[in-house]
Amino acid sequence: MKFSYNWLKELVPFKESPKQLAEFLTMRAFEIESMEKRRGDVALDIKLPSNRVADASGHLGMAREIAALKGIRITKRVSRIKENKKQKVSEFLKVKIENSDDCLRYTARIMTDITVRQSPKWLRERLDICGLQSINNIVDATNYVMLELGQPLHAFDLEKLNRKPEKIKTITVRRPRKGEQIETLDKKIYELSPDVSLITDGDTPLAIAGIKGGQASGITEHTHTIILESANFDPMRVRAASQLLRLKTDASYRFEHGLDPNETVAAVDRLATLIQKLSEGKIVSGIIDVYPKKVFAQKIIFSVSDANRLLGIELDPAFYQKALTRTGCTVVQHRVSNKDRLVVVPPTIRRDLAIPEDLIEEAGRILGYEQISPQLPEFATVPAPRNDKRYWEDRVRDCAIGSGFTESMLYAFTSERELAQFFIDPATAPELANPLSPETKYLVPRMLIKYVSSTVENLRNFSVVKIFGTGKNFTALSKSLDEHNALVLAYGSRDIAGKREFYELKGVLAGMFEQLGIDDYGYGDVLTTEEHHHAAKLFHPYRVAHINIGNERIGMIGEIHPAILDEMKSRGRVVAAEINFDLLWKHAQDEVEFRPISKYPAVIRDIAVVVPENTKTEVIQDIIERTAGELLIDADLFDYFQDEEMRRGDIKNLAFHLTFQSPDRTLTDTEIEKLIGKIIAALEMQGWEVRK
Amino acid sequence: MEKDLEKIRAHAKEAIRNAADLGFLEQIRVEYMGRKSALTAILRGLKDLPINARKRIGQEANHLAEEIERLLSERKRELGSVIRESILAKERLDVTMPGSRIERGHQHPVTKVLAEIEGIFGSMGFETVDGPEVETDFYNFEALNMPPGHPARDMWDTFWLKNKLLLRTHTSPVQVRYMEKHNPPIRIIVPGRVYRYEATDASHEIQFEQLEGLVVDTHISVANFKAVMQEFFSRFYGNHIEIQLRPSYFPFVEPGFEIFISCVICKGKGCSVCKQTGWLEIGGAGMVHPNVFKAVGYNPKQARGFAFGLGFSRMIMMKYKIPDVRLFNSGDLRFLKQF
Repeated sequence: MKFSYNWLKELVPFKESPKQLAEFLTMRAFEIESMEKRRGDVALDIKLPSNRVADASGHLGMAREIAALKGIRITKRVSRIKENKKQKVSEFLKVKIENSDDCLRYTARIMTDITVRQSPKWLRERLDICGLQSINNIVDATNYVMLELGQPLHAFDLEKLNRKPEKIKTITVRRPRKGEQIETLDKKIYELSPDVSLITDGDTPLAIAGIKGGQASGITEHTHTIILESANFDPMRVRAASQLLRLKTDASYRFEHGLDPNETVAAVDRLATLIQKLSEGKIVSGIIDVYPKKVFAQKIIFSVSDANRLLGIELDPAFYQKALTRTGCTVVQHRVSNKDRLVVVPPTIRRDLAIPEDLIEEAGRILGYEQISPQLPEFATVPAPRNDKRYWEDRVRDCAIGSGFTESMLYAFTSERELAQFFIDPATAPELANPLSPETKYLVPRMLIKYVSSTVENLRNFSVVKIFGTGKNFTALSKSLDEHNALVLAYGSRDIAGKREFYELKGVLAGMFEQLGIDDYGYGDVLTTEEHHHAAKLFHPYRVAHINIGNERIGMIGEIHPAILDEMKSRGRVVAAEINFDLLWKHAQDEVEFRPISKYPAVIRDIAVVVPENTKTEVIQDIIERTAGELLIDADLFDYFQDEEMRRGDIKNLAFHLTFQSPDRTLTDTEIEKLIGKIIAALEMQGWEVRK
Repeated sequence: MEKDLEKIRAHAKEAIRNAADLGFLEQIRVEYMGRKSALTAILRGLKDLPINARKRIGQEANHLAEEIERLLSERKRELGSVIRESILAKERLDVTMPGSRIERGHQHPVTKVLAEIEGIFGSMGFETVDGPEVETDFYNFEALNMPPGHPARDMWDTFWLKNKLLLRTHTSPVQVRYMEKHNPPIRIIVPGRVYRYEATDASHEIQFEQLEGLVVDTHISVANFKAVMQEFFSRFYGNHIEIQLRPSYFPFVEPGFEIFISCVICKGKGCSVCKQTGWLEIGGAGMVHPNVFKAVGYNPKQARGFAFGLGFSRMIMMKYKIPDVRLFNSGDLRFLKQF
């Protein structure tokens, strides 16, 4: 909010240059966002916190703040209102408030014989430096007094009010009727809803209460008699109306922060006096003031020792007493005998001062926080408990990075187009009410797609892309939302076959499971009949598997469907794993138990088997393990082979290392040969050819 | 006979010295030490000699045998090392060729710096806590002393979902969630992703990282807060950091501060990074508002605490001199592989 340096200086006698003043205010009160020199004055753009709009949005309030912080007094101003005793305000106007909650106070004065003309130069310059446009002397005066006192004001042309059905013209503050409209001063038409409050003449809307005046009752060069409005409206209603109508004004900004209703009379008097000076008008004697529920100052019991404890410094009661008095509070000792307790009554304009902590802040600012020396708290020396989820996340991260994958963080948003591209039903994605763009229309239900898109993007610059990350999967539920942590690994390569990538990624997962102490993991087919089938749609139909731990499905691994990648114009294939991290880490365990190393040598034999193309390695392994029994400690696939001829015959050659070992004796050749013979027989039973 | 021994010695010495390879050396060994050698013949003939001569000649012959054996093994070692040398020479490597690298991935700068931060706070007894990113109005605003219609809500431009939920605009909701389930004393940090509904540019993002901290106990002061911040930042930047608190307003704290640290680039002298002020703005903080304690069911008369929120993305940008906040979420490996 813009303040004039010269104006402030008129109101309070400080010595600081604009730059010094800006620094002083920044350290003690408000941040100064910018300074701009203009025609012998400086505009200070002061960032007003929302709890200080009530008292400091006007120059006088800002001057009071400076005076309090510096311990000086504001300049006294004497002004007496000169009323025209021949006319009484009650002969001109009545005010009715239909809902006393909507309008907390309505104060008005009437002026006659005014002349509408251009404002004098000094006034135009003041408005200009504060960023307001000059209209005419009457409107400018309302704005000037608002800038001075922080109270929004409005002037209506009394002649334009309809008299009927009352004898005396009446201003009625009421809610809109169905279908009611108003044309504002800037000639825009607004449809009104019940959230808005209106100033009306009983019938026609004259203004949107607390926001903007209407065209119909506006001041023109022919205006002779005016109503000066100084009111106080319900902040919540003004805020709601302003948001609804998308109409923010200097008045609505102030009202929505809540103003002190006790300020309206002083403001309207100040305004009338100023207009009298600017346009030779006459002020009708008397004031209309509807103020159903008066706001009184509240006292706060303040403990000096509590304040000292909160600030962490020893200050005596006299300091607090003096500091709080400077902020405009009345301060008395609670009881003569008790120096620790003060009774503090802040002025009603300081709506931000409601509890002792508010007063402690005032004292702290007057003291200056730099006066408080750092002092380490006395903490118990207990180590922080471990966050298990984060601990396992770190382990997974180390493992992925060690396997050549780079950590990436991606946007949690997605578009309709991206979802469609990956065959994801938009109904499963939580939809935003206020997206910034089509790209932020939804939250992403599967982080996987962001990593796939990013992999495709990166394949334009790299021939191999390995990325991973943990992100959130957001799923729309009928009335709520599910949010869980997803771990995604994506491996893109310009390599044509894409086979190696799939198995490498499986290998990375194997290493990761080992790191997490998980050994009962496995992979399963995605069946077209099951409910998970649609989740697998974005994968290659013959290169996809469930990842299971025990009986629990924790994710999927697969190659992204080539059709999707084609549409994305990907330069290579992408294989990805998508794991529910919340399920994964619950299976993780740190404990490792030592197994005695066998004293007896292990014997390794190789065996190769030729099987039909669609035979699963797992099945072969299973047969070998079941047939061999306990002495076989490992059956490890070490070679996969398929030549042109085998390809045509739809067969493949798989070779295994078989490791035999006994914990209590050295195995003999005959023993091994017997076992191998049994294994071969079992494999041949399946109709497979075994090569030794 | 002694003459014969001398002759054998001389010949053997000469032959061993001249042996060019291990095969030849083996031939020499057979010739001089084998069953059919002259020396063996002498030793065999000893029993036919008179007792005197037998003793003398026997001793000498044995000495000679030992000597030849020694010479043979010496020569063997010599020849061996020559051979090894010629093999090694053929195995010469060009040590200036670049090493072949085992490809490792890279850690995102966010988690990298976060690990450091968690380490420092962890050593001060702060537990790291998480919370949901989609929040209710209650946790994001209301429990933080911002009832519906509170004008301070405008300080946080909010993404709303169609079902009245919202994307958390700060990590502060986790304070409330944590306090609801735990009693003081409390020492936590909450790192996490937050969202803002705003136009993006080099220093504004719709999705970025924040770090929240909360300490609650019976006697916690502004002085304590300053000290904890000073300790943290001094360790994080590796040299002494001054803390400056400027007044600010956040509804969930009272008093409220803007936290500034002495510029880490110029040490407070004034430079382009700190815009010649000597200070860098690093976050917001304050003493927890009694209404927040009330909202979580604490007795506001007994609980005291401070809370802070650090612009964590900004700290990382300063640390690595990253000019554009949007790079963090870009997924661009040309960026990520630098860390």
